[in-house]
Amino acid sequence: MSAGFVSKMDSFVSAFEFLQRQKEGSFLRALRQKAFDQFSPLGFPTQEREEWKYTDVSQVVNTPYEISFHPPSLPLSPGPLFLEDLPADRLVFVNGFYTESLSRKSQGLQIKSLREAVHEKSFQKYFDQERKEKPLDALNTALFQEGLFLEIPKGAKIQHPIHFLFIYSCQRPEAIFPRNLFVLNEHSEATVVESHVGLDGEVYFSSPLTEMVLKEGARLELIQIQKQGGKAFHIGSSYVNQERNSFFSHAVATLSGKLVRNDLNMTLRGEGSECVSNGLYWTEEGQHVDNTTFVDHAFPQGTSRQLYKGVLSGRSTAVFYGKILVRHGAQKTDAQQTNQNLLLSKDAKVDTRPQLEILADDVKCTHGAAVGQLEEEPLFYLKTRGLGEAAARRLLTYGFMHEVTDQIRLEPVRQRVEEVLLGRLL
Amino acid sequence: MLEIKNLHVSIEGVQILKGISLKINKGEVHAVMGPNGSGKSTLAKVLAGDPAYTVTKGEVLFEGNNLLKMEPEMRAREGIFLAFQYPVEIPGVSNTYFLKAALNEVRVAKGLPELDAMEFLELFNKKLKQVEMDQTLAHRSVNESFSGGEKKRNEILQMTVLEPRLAILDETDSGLDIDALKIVAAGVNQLRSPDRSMMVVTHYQRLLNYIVPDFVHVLLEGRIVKSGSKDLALQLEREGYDGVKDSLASAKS
Repeated sequence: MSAGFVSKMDSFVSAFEFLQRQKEGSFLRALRQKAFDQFSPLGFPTQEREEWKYTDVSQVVNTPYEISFHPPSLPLSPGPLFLEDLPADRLVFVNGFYTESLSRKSQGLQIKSLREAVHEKSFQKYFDQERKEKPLDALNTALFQEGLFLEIPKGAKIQHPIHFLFIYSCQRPEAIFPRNLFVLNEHSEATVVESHVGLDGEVYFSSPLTEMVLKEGARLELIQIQKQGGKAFHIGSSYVNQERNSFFSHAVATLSGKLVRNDLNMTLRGEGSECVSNGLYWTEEGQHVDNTTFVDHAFPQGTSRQLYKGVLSGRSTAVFYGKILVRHGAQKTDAQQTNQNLLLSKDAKVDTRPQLEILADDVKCTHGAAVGQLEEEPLFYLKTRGLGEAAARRLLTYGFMHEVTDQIRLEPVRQRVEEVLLGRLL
Repeated sequence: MLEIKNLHVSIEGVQILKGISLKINKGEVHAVMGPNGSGKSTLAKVLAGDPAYTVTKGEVLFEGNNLLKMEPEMRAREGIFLAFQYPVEIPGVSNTYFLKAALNEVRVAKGLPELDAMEFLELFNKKLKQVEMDQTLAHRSVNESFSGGEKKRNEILQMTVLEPRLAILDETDSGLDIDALKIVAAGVNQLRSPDRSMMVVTHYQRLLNYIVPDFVHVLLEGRIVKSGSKDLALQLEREGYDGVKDSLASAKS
């Protein structure tokens, strides 16, 4: 395979044409063709699209990217890996490419590259099931370079977490499209950590797409960490399809990156399923973070819980755009959605839009949003106990975030996230 | 220890304290009593440095130093403790984390070494027993979803840990049933010492059955109108604040 293609949209066209010449098989070829045909007329989303109203991707589009189809050739010395000590199966991707030498995989783990898995029935059944005219999802399908298919067998309870670690280290601006599919069969359980870590200050655009299928009674805990480089653009999508009585627990922490968007779509497709999503973000000078969530209650007796909290400092912006749809017949749905923001600076701005669309009549749904500053009363209280202004502010800010970090049930990950936050507080 | 001279205080342009003078010596317990709106809570909060209030006239000396010039945290480090009438909830911050940070600030100010986590927990557990509070309190967020009584006991716990030189109790009895009141009073009494002074602000005489003061002051409309021994509290209980007002009026005429 030859090296990449440079320039703006042209590079996407060239990359697509290159992939169509490869022997990927008819299944993938057709999918890619369909997806690229979908993306081409749409292009990158503009702010005219309702769900992109508050995020301007022009700076992402205006960068000329290279799209590489071979692993980075430079010797890479990543130093200690993020969450190195986490007792987990670790699957490391460097600039989107699976890197065996940095990975650590136990024997029993059923994991295959997407190209290996392409002939399997369960793969074909579940891969790329969400086409909702989302241009960037289509772009990922058209251009994804690599990815893994993780299947957890029926009834299997995977003890160790599985850590998908995406490391970025680019010499030139690169566009990277990781793609993964997880299928948890009936009554199986797994914990997945998905972290994206930028090693240096180079510009790149990572746009991963992860699809997850939870069959009856399956339980998946997913923790996503964005620790992207200071000039990095990240627009990621996650899709969760939940069948009967399945449980999905999710936490996402956005700690760095120039522009980060986490798009999460949870569809409750069977009775009695439950999803929980907790998010935190801490923006600094020049940063933009967007969390867009969609919960689709399609069946009765579903439960969804969302708590997103953000701290904004400097001239930074954040978005929470959350929608809960309760369809006809999704009776006894119990849905909650909360977004709270703490502004540490006058120049920070947040757009928050929690929304409910309820088409069933016997449901319990609440949502709310808040934007505020540290209050005088608790500050004074802490000071009367001897804490100085700065220490009191730190403690209150920490307390604000702690409600979310406390929900990260994987202790080493929770500690690492808190370390980053506390480090910022010092 | 504490000397208040002709203190005038306003909030949002409204004059609340209109010339308070009061001296508290080492080891003394003073009760400040008064009806609602008399300014007794204002006095307590001003001494702790609440930025909502403006001192328009007068001075306050603490151990000979100008207290009003100090930030609230400096006052705390110098040994002033205010037990709040309405303790504030701090979500997401555990009681132990908070109190360890506070204690170490105070210790550093005293020139003592900071306590590490183990040392602190040992001390904390001992003090918990002293105020008869539950162990689970350690992990709960400061005052969050505490009952009214638990909040007041938590104030006393903090005081017990921080060991102030001057404790100001702002209506610590309000909202407590008799059992909780006894526990709180016992906690306070354990802290009485020849080196420690206290100002007990209360509406009712009831608390003073358990925390017996050396002096009682009656505050009406921003002024101390009467001072006396603990018997003055009993007189107030019998005659009410109106009785004091009447006798003052007849004395004037």
